[in-house]
Amino acid sequence: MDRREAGSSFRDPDGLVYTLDGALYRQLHAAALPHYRRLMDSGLYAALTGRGWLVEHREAGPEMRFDDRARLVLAPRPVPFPSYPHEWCFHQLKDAALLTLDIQEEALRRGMVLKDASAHNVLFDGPRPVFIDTGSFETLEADRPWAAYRQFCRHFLAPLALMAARDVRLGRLLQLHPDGLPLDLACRLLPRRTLLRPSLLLHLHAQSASQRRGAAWTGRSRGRRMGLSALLGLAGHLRGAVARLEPSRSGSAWSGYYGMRSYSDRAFADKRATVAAFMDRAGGRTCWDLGANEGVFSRLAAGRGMAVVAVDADPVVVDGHYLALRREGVEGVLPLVVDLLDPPPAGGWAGEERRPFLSRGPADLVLALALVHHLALGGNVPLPRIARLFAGIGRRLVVEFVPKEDPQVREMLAFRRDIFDGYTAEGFEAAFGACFRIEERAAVEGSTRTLYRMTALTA
Amino acid sequence: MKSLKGPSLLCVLLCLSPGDAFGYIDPGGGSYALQLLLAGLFGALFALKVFWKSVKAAILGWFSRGKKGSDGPP
Repeated sequence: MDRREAGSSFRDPDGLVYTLDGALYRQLHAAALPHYRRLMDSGLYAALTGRGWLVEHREAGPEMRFDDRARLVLAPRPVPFPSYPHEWCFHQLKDAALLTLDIQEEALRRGMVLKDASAHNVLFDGPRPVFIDTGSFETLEADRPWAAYRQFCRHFLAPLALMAARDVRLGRLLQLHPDGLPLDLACRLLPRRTLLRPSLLLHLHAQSASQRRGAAWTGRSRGRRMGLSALLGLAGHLRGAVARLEPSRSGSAWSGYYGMRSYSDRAFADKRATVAAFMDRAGGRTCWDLGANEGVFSRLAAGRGMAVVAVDADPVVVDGHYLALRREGVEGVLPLVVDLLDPPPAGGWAGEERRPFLSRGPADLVLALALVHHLALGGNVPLPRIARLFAGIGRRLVVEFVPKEDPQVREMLAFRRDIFDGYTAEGFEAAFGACFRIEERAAVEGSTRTLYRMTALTA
Repeated sequence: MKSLKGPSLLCVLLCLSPGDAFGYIDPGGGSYALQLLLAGLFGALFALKVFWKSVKAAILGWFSRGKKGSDGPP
């Protein structure tokens, strides 16, 4: 039996996450058992899973344990695609923060508390956040402050405040600081006007000062206690702080892209119909839509029952896509902020705590529509390299080639030297033909563009 | 006196730091103390919220009873 410990589960000594022959398990150690019993017996588990807030699990037999420390083995429902906070847009991080506080409040009402408040405890199942760490619940000890308060502020409040007050692109700072933004750094980057907002003054600026003046503050807090109503008050205050944060709607280079497209509605309708037909013939259960923008084609794939990961480099566009999915109740599409020119790398201890984006596949189907010209001409990536990358992450491919005659490409090359001699339909087919079998091609009516359906030669 | 300041500060920190707190993460001495210092404020905010909710529920209940009374069958 193939046993593999999850690269990110070693920090908490009370349990362990691992896979056995690819199936996911969590073992609980002796210290965690009373807390787990309370989670189940208090009705907290039923309340949280009933609302879709906590991932469901079943209890598995002891033969499925990882090692002898196990006192109980759980088999959690796997979430289809792992994602990390630095890949989320603003409202994904905000919803994950609110979910964490919802769970904290519900736990407090039932005599329990979250012992950690890491953003890594949340995953997205399509566009819905779900808390995955069943081992995070502990029995509430009387009069104790919330041990995870600082962690919550570092993982959620500080990056959200920065994204809202400065720029949503600062979410990427979480890649540099996987254990959350240091509060002193966040406070140095935040505008001074945030000192006038009581919630940010208290939870970020004052807390940052408390790290520097810890001794004096600790002395003054001697003998004080924090009861249940204070803990509920703290959670409610944090909720208000998070809920009020909204980024300014300044737009970006890619928002409204479909409205600015360089071809007609008729051409777009024809492209949509051809892509749908190609998808039907390609089939598959998982799809990566690269350069998904507002997700028009992601929805076509989701409508065919595929679990879709829709990536785009622009956090404003991904935010718009995510909000639309939530608003319209669309399931099965996970939007993520991923720049293919610099995809999220491996990270954490030994580079094993976070998996690189490109290794989380392969997908059954890769969509690369109106993308290749941005990589080739905007990013100077030669076509053979693009083809090799696509062949490594997907078995089948629906791809669009936009020639130099296209108005948008003409605009891209208007003020720069054309160094792209190989960027022709023949060059494209030669480069992709080395990695894929070209199954069919179709011109997009009323445009100079061509759509291809391909199968990877290694598939 | 000056030479005693460092060690005595360390003693205060060691005595008061939340080393025996639940959980496996470091809560941060300052963050822990800040919560204790503001516990009264958070408790009051929560009490206010509960009070306001009960007032709101009472007013809504009073109005809906009134509405029921006027709209309902005689």
